[in-house]
Amino acid sequence: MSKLFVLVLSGIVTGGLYAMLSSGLVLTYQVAGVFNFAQGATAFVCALMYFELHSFAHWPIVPAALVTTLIFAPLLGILLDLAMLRKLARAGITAQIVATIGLSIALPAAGLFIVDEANLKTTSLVTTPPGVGPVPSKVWHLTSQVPFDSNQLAILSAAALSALALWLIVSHTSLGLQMRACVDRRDLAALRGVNPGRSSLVASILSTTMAGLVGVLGAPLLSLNSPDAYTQAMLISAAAAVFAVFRSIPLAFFFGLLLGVGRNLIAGYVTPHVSLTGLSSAAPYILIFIGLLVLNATRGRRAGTVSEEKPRDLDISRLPLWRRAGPWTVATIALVIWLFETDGLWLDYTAYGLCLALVFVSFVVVTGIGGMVSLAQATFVTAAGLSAGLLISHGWPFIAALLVGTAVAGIAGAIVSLPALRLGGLPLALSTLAIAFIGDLLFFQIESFSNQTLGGWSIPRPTWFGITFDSVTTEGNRNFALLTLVIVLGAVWLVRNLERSPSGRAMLAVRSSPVAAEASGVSTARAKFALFTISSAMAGAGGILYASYKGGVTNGDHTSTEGLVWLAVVVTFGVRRPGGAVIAGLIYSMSPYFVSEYLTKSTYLPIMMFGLGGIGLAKNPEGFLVDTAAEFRKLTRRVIPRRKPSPAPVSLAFTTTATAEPTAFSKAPVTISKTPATTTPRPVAESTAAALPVSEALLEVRGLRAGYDGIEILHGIDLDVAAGSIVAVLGPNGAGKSTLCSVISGLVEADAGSVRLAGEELTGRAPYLRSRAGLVLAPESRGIFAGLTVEENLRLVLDAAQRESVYERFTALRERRKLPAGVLSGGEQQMLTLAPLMAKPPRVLVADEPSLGLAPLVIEQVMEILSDIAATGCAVLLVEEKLHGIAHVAERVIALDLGRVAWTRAASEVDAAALAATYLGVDRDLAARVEEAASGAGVVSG
Amino acid sequence: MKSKKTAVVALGASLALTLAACGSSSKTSSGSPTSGGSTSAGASSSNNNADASAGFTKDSITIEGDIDKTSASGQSEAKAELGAKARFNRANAEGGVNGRKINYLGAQDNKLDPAQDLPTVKKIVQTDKAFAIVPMVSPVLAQGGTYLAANNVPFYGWGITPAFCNNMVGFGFTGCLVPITKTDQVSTASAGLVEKMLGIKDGTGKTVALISEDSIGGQFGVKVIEAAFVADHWKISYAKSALPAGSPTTDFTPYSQAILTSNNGKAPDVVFHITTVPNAAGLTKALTDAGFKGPQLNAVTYDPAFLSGQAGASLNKEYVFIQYGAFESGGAANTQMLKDVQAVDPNQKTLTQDIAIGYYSADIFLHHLKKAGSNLSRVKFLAAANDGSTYEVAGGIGALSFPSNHQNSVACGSLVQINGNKYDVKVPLSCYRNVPLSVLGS
Repeated sequence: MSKLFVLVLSGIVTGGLYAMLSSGLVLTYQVAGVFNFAQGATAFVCALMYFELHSFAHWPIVPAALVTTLIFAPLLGILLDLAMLRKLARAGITAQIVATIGLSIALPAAGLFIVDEANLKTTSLVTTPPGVGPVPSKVWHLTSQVPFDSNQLAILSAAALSALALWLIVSHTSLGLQMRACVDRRDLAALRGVNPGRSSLVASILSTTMAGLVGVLGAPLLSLNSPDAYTQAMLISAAAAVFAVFRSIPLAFFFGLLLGVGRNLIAGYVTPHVSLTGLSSAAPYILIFIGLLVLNATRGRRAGTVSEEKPRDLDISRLPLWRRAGPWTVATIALVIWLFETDGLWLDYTAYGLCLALVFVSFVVVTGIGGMVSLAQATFVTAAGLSAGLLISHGWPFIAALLVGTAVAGIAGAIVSLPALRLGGLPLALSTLAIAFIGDLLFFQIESFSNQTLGGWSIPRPTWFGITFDSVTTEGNRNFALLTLVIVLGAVWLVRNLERSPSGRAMLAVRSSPVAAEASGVSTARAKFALFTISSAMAGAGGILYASYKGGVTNGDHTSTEGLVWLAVVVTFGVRRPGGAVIAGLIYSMSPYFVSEYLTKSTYLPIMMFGLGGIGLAKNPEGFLVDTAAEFRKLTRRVIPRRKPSPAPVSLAFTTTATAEPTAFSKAPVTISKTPATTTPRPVAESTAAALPVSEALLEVRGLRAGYDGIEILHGIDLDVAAGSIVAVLGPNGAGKSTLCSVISGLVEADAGSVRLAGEELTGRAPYLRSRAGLVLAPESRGIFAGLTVEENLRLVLDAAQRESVYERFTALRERRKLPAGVLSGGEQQMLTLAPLMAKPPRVLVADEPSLGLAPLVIEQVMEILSDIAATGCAVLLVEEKLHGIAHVAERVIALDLGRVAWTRAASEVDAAALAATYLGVDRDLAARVEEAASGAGVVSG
Repeated sequence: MKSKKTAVVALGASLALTLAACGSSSKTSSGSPTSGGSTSAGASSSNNNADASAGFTKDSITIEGDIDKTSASGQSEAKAELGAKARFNRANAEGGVNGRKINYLGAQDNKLDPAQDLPTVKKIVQTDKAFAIVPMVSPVLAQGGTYLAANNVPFYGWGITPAFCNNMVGFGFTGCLVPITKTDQVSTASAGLVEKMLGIKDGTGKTVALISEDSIGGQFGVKVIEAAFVADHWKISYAKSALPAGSPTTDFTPYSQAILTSNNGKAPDVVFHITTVPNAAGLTKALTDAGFKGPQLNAVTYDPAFLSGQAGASLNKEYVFIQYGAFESGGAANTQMLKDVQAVDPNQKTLTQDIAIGYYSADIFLHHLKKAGSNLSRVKFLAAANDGSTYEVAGGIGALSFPSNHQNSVACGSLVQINGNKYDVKVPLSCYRNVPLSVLGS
C-alpha cells in the first residue's frame, strides 16, 4: 500500500509537467488551430534562459524563475504568434506541421547558438539548473522511506496553480469567453466582434507561459544537455492531448497527470524483460499511436479543409523543354565533371550528399506529391540499413542485400501507411513520429537485428565486374559516387513520372480537397498507400547506400529527431520538386564543413537555419529555390517588360451600368457588352430603388466584385439599405447570396467596389472591426456557438441588463441558459442568434437565410424579430432563397442571379410566380427588356 | 538527434563498453577488408600506401588528433587535444624521438556525428598526411577505424569502440574495452576496488544492485559489471536495465523503491549506477533521500565540472570508478602531467579526464615510436608497437601489452569519493584480474 501511495504521489508530480504541456498543446490547437510541435522547444529555451540568468547573470533563483516565466515566456508567445501561429491558422495542415517542427528545431538551436557565440557556455559537463527552492532541495519524509522534496512541491503547486489560473481565465473572463468562441466558430466569433488574432495571441501567451513553467520547474529533471529531452516530454504530453481528443483542456490536464502516475506504476510493477529491451521506454509512444488510431482525434476538422494547399503557382510546364531540362542537365554534367576532378574529402562529401539526396527525394514523394507528413523516414533508413547489414553478415551479396533491404523499408512503410489510410494531416504526422520513436527505442534495440553490442553491422562496398566501389582508393570512391548519382537520377525520373501518374493526379485531387475528391470517387487510400510505400522504399535504398558509404550501420546513426531536421532541410529547398531535394542533400552534407571553416565553430547555426527554412513553408510552399527563381523571373520581367496585352474581361465594359442590367438572362454577355453604355438610358425606376440617395442609405454597396480562387462570383453589385428598413435579397442557389453576405461582412475580401456604413468606408477592414463598427452578419444556418452555453453565447456580446431583456422576451432561452447552445432546437437556436441583435441592435444587420430549415410558424416569429430590430433604426439586409414569409416585412426585394442584380422591385409588386420564373431563367418579360435595352429603346419597370 | 549519443558517451566515459555498444559501428568482420597483424598489413600497404612514407621525414613526424570537440548535444572532449599537445611539447623539448620532432597539427573535430567519422579520418590521413592519429577520442569511430586498419595508420586513444579491438592499429590506453564473446575477458576492477574500499577480501555475504538504461548498451554495461561482481562472489540483488532510454528519467521513485527492497525486502549493501550522469545524479539523490546509507558508485562523474550546481549537490558522497590513476593521488606521473599541461596553457589549473586521455595516448605513442627506431615505416612501427612488451605509468595507467590488449582491457582502476566540490581518493590505482563473461553462465 505504501509503495502504491509513493508511486502515485510522485507520479502526480511528473504528471504535473505533462499536464502543463498537454493543456498548452490543446489550448493552441483549439484557439490558434495549430498543433505546436515546438511546445517542448519553447520549454527548453525557457529553461536555458532561466539557467543563464541564474548562472551567468548571477540572479537569485526566484527572480530568475519569475522573469523567465512571467516576462520571457509571454514575450516569446507574442513573438511566436505574430511571426508564425497567426499566419499558420489559415495555412494548410502540411505547412502547419512542418513550420512548427521547423520552429522546434530552430528555437533551441538559436538559443544554444547565442550561448555559444556569447560564450555563456557553462563549464559543467551536465547542465542541470537548480530547482526552484532551496539548493540542495529540502527533503521532507512522509514516512521513513517516502521522501518528498522542495522541487517536487514546486512542480506540484505550479501545476495546481496554473490549472486553476487557466480554468479561471478560460471559464470566467471575457477574454476566455472570446477564446472559447473562437474555438467554437472562429468566423462567427469574428462576426460577433471578437478579434480572432487577439484570442490567438492570448492563447499563445498562455501556452508559452505554461511551457515556460515546465522549462523552469522541469529543468532539474530534464537537464539542459539536449533539447530533445523537451521535445520528447512534449510528445509524451501529446498522448494526453490525443486522449483529450485535442478538445478539452481539463481532460488534457487530467490525462497528463494520469500519464505521470501510469509511467510510475509501470516502472514500479512491471519487470523489464531482457528480450523486450525498450518496451517500457517506448510505452508512451505506443500509447500515442493506439490513441490516434482509436480516437482519430482531429477527424472533425477534416471536412471543410477545402483547398488547403494552393497548387504550384509557378507553372513551368509551358516553358520549352530546354528551359526546363537545361539547367538540370548542365548541373548533372557539372557534377560528373566535379567527381572526376576532385578527390579525397570532397569526393566523400559528394557521395554522402548523394546518398542523402536519395533519402530526401523520398520526402518529395510522400510530402511533396502525397501531401502527407511522414516523420518516420529516418526509421525506414535505419530499418533498411540494419536489414542489409544483417543479410550481408550472412554472406549475401551487396546487390541482394540492397534490394531486400529496400523492400523491407517499403514493407515497413506500407505497414505504417495503413493508419495513414484512416488518418490525415496531423494525426498521421503524430502517428509516424510515434512509430519513429517506437522504432528507435524498441525495434532497433533487438540485438539480433541491430548487432549493437558489436557496433552494428559492417556493410562493405561491392566490386562488380571488376569495377571497384571501395572506400579506400580514389577510383573506388569516385565509382561509388557515380553509382549513387545514377540511382538518384533514377529516383528523380521515377518521381517525375509519379507526378504524372494516376496516383499522382489522384493525390493532387486529394490535396485540393479531400472531401471533394472522396465524393468524386478518387481512391485516396490506394494512392496514399502507393506513395507511402514507394517513399519509404526510396528512403531505405538511400539508407543502405549511406551505410555502405560509411562502411557500416548502427541503430543510432539516424534517430527520429534527425528525421525532423531532414524534413526541415528538404522543405527549405523545396519539397515539391526532386531537384530541390537533391540540392538539399548535397548542401546538407557540405554545409557543416563550410560553416565551421568560414563562419562559426558553433554547430547550431546550420541547424537553426534549416529550422527557419521549415518555418518558411508557411509562407512559401515551393521552397527557397523555386521562390528565388520566381523572384528572379519577376525581376527580369520588370526590367524587360513583355508586350502581352492582358485580355480584359468583357464584363468590365459595363461595370458602371451593371447595376440594373438584367444581364443574367443572357447566356452570352458579349451581346450585352455591345450595348453602347452611353446610349443606354438608365432604367429610372430601378436605379432609384436599388441605390438610394446617399443621405438616406445606411449601408451602401457599390460595384462589388468578389470570388474565390480567381473565379468571380459577384460581378458588380450595387445596393443600398436605409436606416429602419428591411431590404430582401432573393436568389436561387448559386446566385451569390452567401458570397455577398461574406463580402459585406468582410469574411471574403472584395476584388473591387466598396462597402460603406453611413458613409464610412469599410472595405479592407477585418470582420471583427466591421462588427464593432456596427455592421453585423447573422450567418447562414445558426449564428450560435454550439459549444458554449446559452448564457455564454449572450455574454459574449451583451451586458447583464441586456441579457435580462433577452430572457424576458425569450423565456425558453432563460430555461435553457445553462445548456450548451448546440442542444437547442432549430427555432431556439435562431432565437439565440437574433436575440442579442434585438437587445443591442446593430446599425446594419445582414441576415443570411435566417429562415432556413425552420417551421413556417417559427419563420413568422423570426420575421417579427427582424421587423422589431429594423424598427430600432437598424438597416436590415435580409438574404433569402424563398419569398415566403418575407413579403410583408421587406420594403424592397432585390433579385440576385449569377452574381448580378436581376431586378429590384417594391415588395408588394413581387409575386411568387414571377420569382419562380426568374429562378428558372424563363422570365420572358425581363428577357424582352434585355432586347429592348439592347436596341436602346428604354426600359419599362417590371 | 544526439541525445542518445550523449547518453552513450556518458556511459562510455565509465565503462566504455557501453559506449561501444551504441555510438559506433562494426568491428572488422569476416567479410570486410582485414588487417590482422603486420603480415596482412604489409600486404595491403603495398596496395594502398603509395604515400607509405607520408607523415614523417628524417627530422619530423606529423601527428593529428580526432576528437569530439563540439557536438549538437554539447558533449565535448576538447581538452584531450591539450593533453596530447602537452606531452608532445615535452618530447620535442627533450629533443624529439629518434631525431624526429613531433609536428602536432592539433585535432580535427568529429562532432560526435557518425557521418563525420570517415571524412574526418580521411582528411587526417589523406589531406593532412599524418603518420598516426593521437588522440582518437571518437565515440562514433567505426568505418574510420576500418579505413585506418586497412592503411596501417596507428591510432591511440580511449578503447571505447570495437574499432580498438581485434586489429593491430588501434591502441586504447585502457586496452580494448569491448568484450565480444563469452570467452572474452572483462576487468574485475570495479568489484575489486569496492572490496578494497570496504576492507573485505571478496563479496561473500554482500549484495550489490546494478541499474542501467533500457537499451542494448545499458544491458551490456550491466552484464559486464555483473560479471565482475559475480566473479568476486557478490550476491546480485538487482541487475536491471530499467531506466527509460532515449529520454530523461523524470521520476526516480519507482527505481529507488525497487532497489531498496530488492534484497529480500531490504536494501542491498552497494548500488552501482551504470547510467548517464543525470540519471546517476537523480538516482543517487532518490536513494539517499529514501534513507539508503550504503556506498553508491558510478563511473561517469570524474570531472570537477560535474560537481557544481544541482547534479553536484545530488552526487555528494558518491563513489566514482575511474580507469587510471586519480589525479588527487598526486605522485610523479600526475605532477609531470600537470606541469606539462601548464607549460602549454598556464590557465589550466587542474587535470581533467579528457586531458588525461590525450596525454596518456600521446605518451604510449611516444613509447612505441621510440621502440620503432630511426629507420621508420608504418609497418615497422606497428611491429615494434605490437612486440608483446609491457608498458605502464606508475600511478597513471596500468600495465599495457600489445597485441594482447587489442583483445582485452586493462584490469586496473582507482576509486574516488565526491566530497563537496572535490574528490577524495579512496583506493589508488590498483590492478585486478580479467575474467571471461562466461562467469555469468550461459
